[in-house]
Amino acid sequence: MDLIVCIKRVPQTAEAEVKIDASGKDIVRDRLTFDMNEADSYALEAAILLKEKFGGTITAISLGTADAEDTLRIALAKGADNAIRIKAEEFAQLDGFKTAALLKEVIKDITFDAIFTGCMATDDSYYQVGPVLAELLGVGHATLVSKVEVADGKAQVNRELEGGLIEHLEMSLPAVFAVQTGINEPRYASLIAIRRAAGKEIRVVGREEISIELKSNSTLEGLFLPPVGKRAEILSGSTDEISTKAATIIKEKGLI
Amino acid sequence: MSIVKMNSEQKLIRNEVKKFASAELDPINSDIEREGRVPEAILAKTAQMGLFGLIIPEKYGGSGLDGVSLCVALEELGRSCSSLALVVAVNNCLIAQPILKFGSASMQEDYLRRLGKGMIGGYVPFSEIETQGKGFILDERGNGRQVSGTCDVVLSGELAEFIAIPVKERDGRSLYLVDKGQAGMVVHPTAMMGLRASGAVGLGCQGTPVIQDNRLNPEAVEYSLEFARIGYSAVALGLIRASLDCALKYSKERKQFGRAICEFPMVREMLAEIKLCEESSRLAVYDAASRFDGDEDFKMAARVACLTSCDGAVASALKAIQIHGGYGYTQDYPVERYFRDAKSLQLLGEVPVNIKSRIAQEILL
Repeated sequence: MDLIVCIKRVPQTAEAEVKIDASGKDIVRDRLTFDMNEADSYALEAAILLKEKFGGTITAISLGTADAEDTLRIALAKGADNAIRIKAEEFAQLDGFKTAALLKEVIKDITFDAIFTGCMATDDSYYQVGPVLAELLGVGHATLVSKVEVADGKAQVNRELEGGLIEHLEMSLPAVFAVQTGINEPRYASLIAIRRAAGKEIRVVGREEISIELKSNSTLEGLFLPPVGKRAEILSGSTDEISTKAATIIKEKGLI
Repeated sequence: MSIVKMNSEQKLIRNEVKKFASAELDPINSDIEREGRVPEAILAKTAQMGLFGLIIPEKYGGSGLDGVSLCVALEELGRSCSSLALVVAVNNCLIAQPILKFGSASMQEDYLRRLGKGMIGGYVPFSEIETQGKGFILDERGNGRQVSGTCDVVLSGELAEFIAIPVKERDGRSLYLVDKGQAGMVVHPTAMMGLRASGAVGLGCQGTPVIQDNRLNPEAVEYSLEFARIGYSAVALGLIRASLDCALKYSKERKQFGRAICEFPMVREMLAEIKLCEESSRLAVYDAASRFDGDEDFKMAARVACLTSCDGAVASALKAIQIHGGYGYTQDYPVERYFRDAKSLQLLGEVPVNIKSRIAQEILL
């Protein structure tokens, strides 16, 4: 199987202090660390497992600045065969739609059986790239994918729904799978594989190769931190008194 | 631009080892400490990543990386779990490197291949033997050679498939590599102040057979001791970073007299002093590693790095405990562990006064 994995390099903001920059439209990135988007690492692992079973190739593609090549090299070290970086610095104000459109321009010239993306990127949380890319390529897609198995040219796909429900789909290939986190155990790149990947060539494409006009229906107006709410109230008294006060507050707020 | 320069390969290695340490070690650090062992699954992943054979050439199945890469990995592991970092340091610096540089062809073929696959070797720190007045003697009478003796600490001994046993000879100490389970060999539990999950055990040998092919001469042993100082210092640098991270976090959260304690001048001074330890250690560690990689004489740089970094780790952990106040002394926070680990690390290689004596001896020449 020939597979494509779309990978984004994102800031690690889970435990970091996030500050908004002077433009009001981006975060201060100086002191943040960057890594492969979490869901994308599961998408990559899903592709590697299929390659190990059926053979074929994996092409990793990232729309990012030169630093994204580090992330692509980790993908190469884990099992990707080829890597392509689309120069994000040559395209302004990228959103989910524009990202998918640029990916499509590169992917349309590649033969593939399936494309794996993460279900979302942890920095902008658009959840758009997988489905929009599938539409632009004219192939089927599944989002929130929790399992992919391939047999007889068809994919058996599970999707994770709210309330613990699992939806099972049979899909024809090629297709795009936007993968949920936790569906497998992403491997770590071995040091020797990193060493080998460090010297591999990464194809870089930019404005010269992609000449489409990008239009989007939305514009980022600004980022802000939600206002700080009232301070927590510490209830005092005996256990009975505290539980009565707590129940009263919950009822007053209309929570039950 | 900093004089400590990493190439893109070393940066990738740092990120991947950091990711491994954050995801696999950080969440269970207190369990590892309490149970005194690193889980099998984590050891297996460490082996799969190629950390135990980091410095071993590819032709033996190792990762074929250099000294700076080793320090990068040890620093990141040391920050999360200094016990595991010590096992990796011992394997690469005290076991693999002397075999690689001085071992016989058969020893290299046998041991480097096994180490390249992730096998762990045990090592008896000499300081332990010298301070305890214990040690091993070689008996060449009768059929073959045998070693007999005891020691209280074999680093990585519990996890190891073989142990490098030091034997005192006329011109220094040689090492005999002996597979565990040989006749007359008994290992027993030992308790250490820190680095409790590093698999340290006590060892007794009574007429345990050894062979000449598995002997490393005193020159190899002396060389590996100097190289190990670089490894220890990288682990200690990781510990300094861990102490600083904890102290920064706590000092920003803890309020006293209506202010975060990081606003008080004495706390700020201690934070700055830990940062000073971190930066001076980083320069010393990577200077020594770069000299090793450049095939220069790295001995003096390694001694300086070891003293700067290991002493710095002890001092930094003490300051971090002080910043935490009474909580720093409890096991609710990891800083007391950082102190115990740092103190163990400071004494395991060679006691600081002996390292200073070596430095003095050389500059007085």
